Amino acid sequence: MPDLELALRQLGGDLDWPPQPSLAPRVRARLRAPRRRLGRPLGLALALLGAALAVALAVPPARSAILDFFGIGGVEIRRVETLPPLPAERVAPGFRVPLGDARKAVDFDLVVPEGYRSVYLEDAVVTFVWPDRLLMELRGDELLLKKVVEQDSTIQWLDVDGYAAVWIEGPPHGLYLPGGEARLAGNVLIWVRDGVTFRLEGDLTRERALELAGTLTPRGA
Amino acid sequence: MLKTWNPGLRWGVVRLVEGRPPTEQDLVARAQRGDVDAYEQIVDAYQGIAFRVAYLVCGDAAEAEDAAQDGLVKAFRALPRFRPGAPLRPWLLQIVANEARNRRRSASRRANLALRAAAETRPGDAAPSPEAAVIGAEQRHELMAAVNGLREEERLVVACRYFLELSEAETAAALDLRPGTVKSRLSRALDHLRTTMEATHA
Repeated sequence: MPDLELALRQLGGDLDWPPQPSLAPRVRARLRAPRRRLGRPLGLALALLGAALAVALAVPPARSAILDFFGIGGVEIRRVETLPPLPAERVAPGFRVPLGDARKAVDFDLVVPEGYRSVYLEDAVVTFVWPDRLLMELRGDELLLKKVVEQDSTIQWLDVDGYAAVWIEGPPHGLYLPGGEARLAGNVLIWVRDGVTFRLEGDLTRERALELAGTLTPRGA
Repeated sequence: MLKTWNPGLRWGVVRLVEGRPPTEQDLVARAQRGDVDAYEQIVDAYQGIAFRVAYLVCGDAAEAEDAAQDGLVKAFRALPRFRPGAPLRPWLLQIVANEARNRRRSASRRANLALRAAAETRPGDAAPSPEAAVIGAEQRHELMAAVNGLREEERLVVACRYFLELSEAETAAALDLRPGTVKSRLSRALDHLRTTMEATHA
C-alpha cells in the first residue's frame, strides 16, 4: 500500500452514499409551522378569535402587516408592525378557584409553584398569581393563547433545563386569552416541558425568569 | 410614520447586508434572533455533511434523514446558546450526530459503505491523475472491504476523517470523543488496515 491515507481519501470520493435528502425546506417548514391539534369546539372558538384578531389587525392595514409567526407549545406568537389597541390593565385570567378545582379541570399534572397568592382558571388554562408575576400552565399541544408582538420586542429562543423556551422582552405585547379577553402583557418566558406549556409573566429580567422557571419541578421528577 | 432603524431587528439587518453576500457570522447572528430565512441558508450549506454524518452514525438512510432534520431543528432552538464567533460546523454536526446516536440505540445497525458501481469507469478518467493512480480498481475494493471489516469505533473515525474529510476536532465533536481518542483510534485503525492489505497481498 503506497500511501494508505491518500488511498482512503480517494476512496471517499468514490463512495456510493444514499441520495442526499433536501432538508432545508423541511427544517424551515417545521420552524415556521405552529403546532395545531385542536378539538372542535376549541377550534371554532379560536377561528372566531382569529377572525377578531384579523379585524383588529386590519386597521390600518399597511402598518399592521403580520411579519412572522410561530408557535411554542400551546402559544402562538405573531410579530406585527403595530399592535392593535388593547387595554393595559390586568384582567382576571378567568375565575378564581380552589387549587383542587384547577387540578381537576386540566388533563395534565399541574406543577404547583411556591408562594402564590391565588389560582385562576379559564378554559383549560390555570394561572397562579403573585403580586409581581403570574404563571400560566396549559397543555402543550393545543393552541390556547395567542400573542402579538411588535417589531421592537426581542424574541429569543432559550432553554429551561433542556426544554425549548422563548423569551419575549421589550415593549408590552398583546395577549389573547381563550375566553376572548385581550390585554397588554409584559416580559414573558414561555417553555414547554413534558407536554405542558408554562408561561411566566411579570416585571422580570430574563435571568430572574429563568431562575424562577428552574425552581418548578414536575411532580415525581 | 416609519419606525427608526433598529440594528436588533431582522429587517434592519437585511438592509444592512444588502449588496454583499452575508457571511456565516451574519447569518448566525440573524438566526440567533429567530430569523428562519437566515437559518435556512445555514442548513442549505451544511445539510449534505449533516446527513452523511448521521448516516454513518445510525446506519440507515431513512433514520439518518430524520435524525439530521430533527437535529437541525433542535440546533436552531439551541442557537441562542451558541457562542458568536465559535466554529458552527462542529457544533451543528455534534447535535445531529447525537440525534443519530439516540436513534441507533434502538436498532443495532451499521451503514455498510460501498463503492459507486461506476467508479472505475467514470468518463474523463482515461488519463488518471497521479492521485487517481494511487491504487488500482481491484485494490480499492479490497480497501473498502477492509474498512468495512474494522471495528465500528475505528471505522467511524476513518470514515469521518478520510471519507467526509472532517477535521480532528469535528470528528471528536461528531463522535462524542476527546481529540486524543480520535488520534489514537485513527492510528490503530490505519495499522489494522495496513496489516489487512498486506495479508491480502502476501
